[in-house]
Amino acid sequence: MLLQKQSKVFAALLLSLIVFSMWDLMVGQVHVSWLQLLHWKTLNHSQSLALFELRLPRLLVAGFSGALFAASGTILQTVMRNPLAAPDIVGVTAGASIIAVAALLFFPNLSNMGIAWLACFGALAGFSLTFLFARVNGDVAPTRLALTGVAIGTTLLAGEHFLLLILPVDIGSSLNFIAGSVYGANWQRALAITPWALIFLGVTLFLGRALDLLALQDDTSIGIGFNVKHMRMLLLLLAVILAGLGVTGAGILGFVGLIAPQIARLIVGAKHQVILPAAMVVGALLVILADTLGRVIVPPAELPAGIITTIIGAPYFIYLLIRFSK
Amino acid sequence: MIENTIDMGSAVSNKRFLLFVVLMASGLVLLGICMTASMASGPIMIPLKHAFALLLHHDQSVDNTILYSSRLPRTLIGALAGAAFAVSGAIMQGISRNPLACPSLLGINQGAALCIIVMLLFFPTISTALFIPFAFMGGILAALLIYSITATAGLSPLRLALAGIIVNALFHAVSRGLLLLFPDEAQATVFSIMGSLAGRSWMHFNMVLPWILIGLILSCFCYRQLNVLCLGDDEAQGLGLSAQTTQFILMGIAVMLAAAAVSVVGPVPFIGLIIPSAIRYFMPDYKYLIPLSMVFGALLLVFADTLIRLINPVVEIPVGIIAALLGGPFFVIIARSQAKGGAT
Amino acid sequence: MSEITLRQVSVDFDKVNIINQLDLDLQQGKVTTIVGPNGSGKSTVLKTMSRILKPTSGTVLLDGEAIHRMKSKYLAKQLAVLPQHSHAPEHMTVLELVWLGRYPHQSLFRGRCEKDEAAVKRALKQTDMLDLSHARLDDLSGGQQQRAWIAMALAQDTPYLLLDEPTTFLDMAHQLETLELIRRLNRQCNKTIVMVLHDVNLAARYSDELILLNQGAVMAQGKPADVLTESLLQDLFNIKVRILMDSHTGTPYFIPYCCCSEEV
Repeated sequence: MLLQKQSKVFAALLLSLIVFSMWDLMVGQVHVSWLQLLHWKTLNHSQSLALFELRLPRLLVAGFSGALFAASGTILQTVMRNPLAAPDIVGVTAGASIIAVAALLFFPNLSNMGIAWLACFGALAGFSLTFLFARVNGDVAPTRLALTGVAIGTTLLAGEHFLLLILPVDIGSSLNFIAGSVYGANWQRALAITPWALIFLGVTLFLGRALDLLALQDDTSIGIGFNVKHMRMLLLLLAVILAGLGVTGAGILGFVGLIAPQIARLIVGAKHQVILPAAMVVGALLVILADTLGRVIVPPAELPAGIITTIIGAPYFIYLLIRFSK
Repeated sequence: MIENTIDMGSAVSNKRFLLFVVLMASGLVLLGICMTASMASGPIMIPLKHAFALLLHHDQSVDNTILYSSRLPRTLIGALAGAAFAVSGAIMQGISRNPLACPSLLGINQGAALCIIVMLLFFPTISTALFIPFAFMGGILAALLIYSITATAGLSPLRLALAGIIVNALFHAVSRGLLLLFPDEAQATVFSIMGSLAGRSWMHFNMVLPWILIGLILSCFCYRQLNVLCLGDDEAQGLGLSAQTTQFILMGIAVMLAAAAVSVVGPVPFIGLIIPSAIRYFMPDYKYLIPLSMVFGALLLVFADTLIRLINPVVEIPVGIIAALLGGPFFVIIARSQAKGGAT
Repeated sequence: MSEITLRQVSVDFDKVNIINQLDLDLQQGKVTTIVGPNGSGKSTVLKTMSRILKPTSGTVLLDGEAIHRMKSKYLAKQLAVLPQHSHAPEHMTVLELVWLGRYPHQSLFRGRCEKDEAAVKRALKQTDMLDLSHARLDDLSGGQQQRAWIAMALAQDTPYLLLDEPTTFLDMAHQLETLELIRRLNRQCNKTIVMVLHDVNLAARYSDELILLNQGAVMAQGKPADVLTESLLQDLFNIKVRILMDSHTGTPYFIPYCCCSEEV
């Protein structure tokens, strides 16, 4: 019965993912109708250029980044037992972003993959900083973690702006990291993150049971012979890597890592084996939708997806904060 | 015996007064130095001595023109805005009894900035006299938003700050979105998103002077109310102060100060957080806290604005970025120190 | 008529009725303590008397005058109130706190004068805080902090002093110390004291009058020896007690035996 309901939910999610992806591919300066999408061989030159060279890699990057942030957020929220934890709240994305920008500035010849790994390292550094500062007397209170994370994030972002402004750069590629945008994503970027995203998202999917156990009280999980400490470290590391990869793809997409897991929990229940894939799909959906909306609101101008996700996500965060303090 | 202790008593309160005088005097001297340095620095460096001499006697040199037409108003605006931000933060911390309250962390700055952007984009012909009232409306909007969140949830200091930051992020995103959608006012971007003093003129100075001056003078007279409010609402009520009315009026003054400052320098963060918190450590009494905040707030903003022109005089870094860099670590420390109160 | 009088006072909080049509007369020059179980409305009564809460209907009279028609500062010169667990701002010294008690006596154009100074010194002396007057409140013990707050209320120089649970979070010695101080203020400085206490035995020992409150209504009012009866306490707290007389202090005290609900 339950399984049936869940498979219905997943079918609906996947269907909307396909529909919104198609919409994403259709709109823009060169319009492609949905019928043409199905008969893609009949496209004229400019249409196929727009579709295959611009929109498809962009769609891939958007989808994978969303899924990566969502997975990272799901893990963080469970491991920290903190509904406010999300990669962009606890300093992870800001750390990744500043390191990625610094890498672009100081080592312009670095490959995309090199940047991605450096970004993961930055994500780890950002998170460690937040965690260390939020820890008082061995205790990490949820709100303090969030506030410390935001504070560290603000500082790191200021540092990033500073770097961008004092050093002469090709602003174009670096700005993506700040704005949270998939604008200008090409095959090179898409291909650089796709395999790694697939690998790490795949690994995450197998860790649902571990997350279920971690959601219990520590004592209980230890009682059933589960090495809480190691598992928690491993999962945090994974969350940080996921977010680092996400940042390499699309920069800081505000609040995706916060909302996607929450929505997933709402619609599929409490088991992480189901929450994880649902959150990934929701995350991908959110970013693809935000990217499409950013292009259709006022056509020639484009709004970065990060702005749209923030406008949606911030009120939700406040709602959580209020509900959480009652 | 008792007489002795009482004498000792006045000796110690004199000590605090002495400390106030020392801090005030050193603050004013530093402010003077910084303002002179600020007038000297820019794409064309004027030697400090010459700058100082020019302040006392005009002459016909190019330096004279630069100094009086752009550097002087810029410096004065910086000082005014810095003082306004710091005093606004001091008041907000007092009425909310929250060491993390400040115009930038409560979203007031960004709310004011958003209103200015809306005005620049959609009513470009409107008179500049309406600039500050508009910004004030934006600030009040943000304050009301935060207030309603607090009223429904009864938030601890950390939560209030978190809510404020998120409201700030929201306004920030909307502002950036608007500027990207309507790129004609690109010149306003840096100023209204990050905060900058570049290109401020006498016109801006005249526009903002009365508002900030009135706000600063009013806040100097409110030190007793602020001291009493710091004890708590019920306690203030017991001492014969109607807490809510006073809080409302004081919040109005604080928002006015912040909005006026934002309308000339943009949303420069953290000055209202750093300065009052640091001074409070030595001087919890608002009688001294407010005037000291003015001087040191002015000092910090003028210093930061001078610094950016020394780093790169041609392509200026927005002063808001420097303020964020300086203030961020401070913010982390204050958030951390909140743990002692058991707040979560 | 020099006293605090409540006439037909009702108070609602969040649309829940806490006090319903309460009549109460408190005499001048006495120590009156309000006791009662949790949620009986003790603090609400005290807050209504001191105008921190506004009654939904009815009036509170102070010396025959309705307090809700008084000017805030005028009321604060008649009646000082110490709410439950007050927190002073960080870094504040005892002296600075006590000075705030002079707020109702000052105004925009009238700064500190000798009278203020004298009142502050007197308050510090009465609470035995002179030696600590320059200590930061954060550095003091709970009992000392409580004394500092009482000193602030004393500096207000009012005939009435209202205290809401002045002994919470204090250990036994500091509880006694605080209550001794309160009684001394009553006896020596002629203050009328109204307070809320949790501990009925301590209340009986240090009060001239007890008010037993239950669900917003007065169950009994009078001298501790008259008011404390075994049946009344059983009704009030739902416990079986025995009442004894302390031959040393001459006040009644009770020993709780068991919870009534546990009896079959």
